[in-house]
Amino acid sequence: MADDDVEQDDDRIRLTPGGLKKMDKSQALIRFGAGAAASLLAALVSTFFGSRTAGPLLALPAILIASLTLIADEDGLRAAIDDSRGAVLGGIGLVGFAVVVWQGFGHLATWLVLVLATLAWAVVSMLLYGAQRLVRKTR
Amino acid sequence: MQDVLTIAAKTLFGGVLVLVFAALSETLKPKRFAGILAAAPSVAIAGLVVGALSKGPADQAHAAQTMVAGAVALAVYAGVATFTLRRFGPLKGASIAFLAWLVVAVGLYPVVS
Repeated sequence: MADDDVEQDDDRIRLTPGGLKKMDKSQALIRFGAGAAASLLAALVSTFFGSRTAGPLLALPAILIASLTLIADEDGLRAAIDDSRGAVLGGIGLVGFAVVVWQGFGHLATWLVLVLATLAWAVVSMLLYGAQRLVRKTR
Repeated sequence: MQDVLTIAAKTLFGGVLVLVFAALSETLKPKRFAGILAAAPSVAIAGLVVGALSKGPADQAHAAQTMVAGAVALAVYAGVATFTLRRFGPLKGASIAFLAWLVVAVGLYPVVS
């Protein structure tokens, strides 16, 4: 059985702290750079054109472009495609994040809204992952 | 001066948060699950926290409102990337899929704003 198939079949969630060693300084720098560049672009647009115009840039896939390329180099194309499939779920969760902030800011404490929004992102994404896993198992 | 500090704070905070989520992602398996963190709200948290401190939360609610368009576009981007990565390879495939993000984000912007 190929490694790709193992990754496909074994979809139990596992914590592997050793995986952190795989991210060397240059990879960390690329990811920091991608995040900083996306944040800088959103900040510049917000300053010159207003917060409303900059909103979509808060979900710019610059980080995803960098991370998919790094993963493909490190773990192969199959792993990058799997990462991208997970990002679909994270992206749907991000819609939940944005809606909670949109409705909560100005009504509840800022820190509380951000905590609730991050929880919404995590819960929506994980529920979708669980549902997807269930569907794959019953097939 | 205030604007420069705000932009610098968002840039630095955004970079750090992306790194934190990326590090967390490296410790999780399978890749399909870890990929959720590739769409973590790192840039959004940085922008919204610093923005709320400088302009107030009510102003940042407008950013979150239109962020909905970007977030839907991000999910579409990742879906398209699963095909373009296979067809065009890593860098080209990931970059071509960006067109999908752009089209969806620009198309949805007037709907959500």
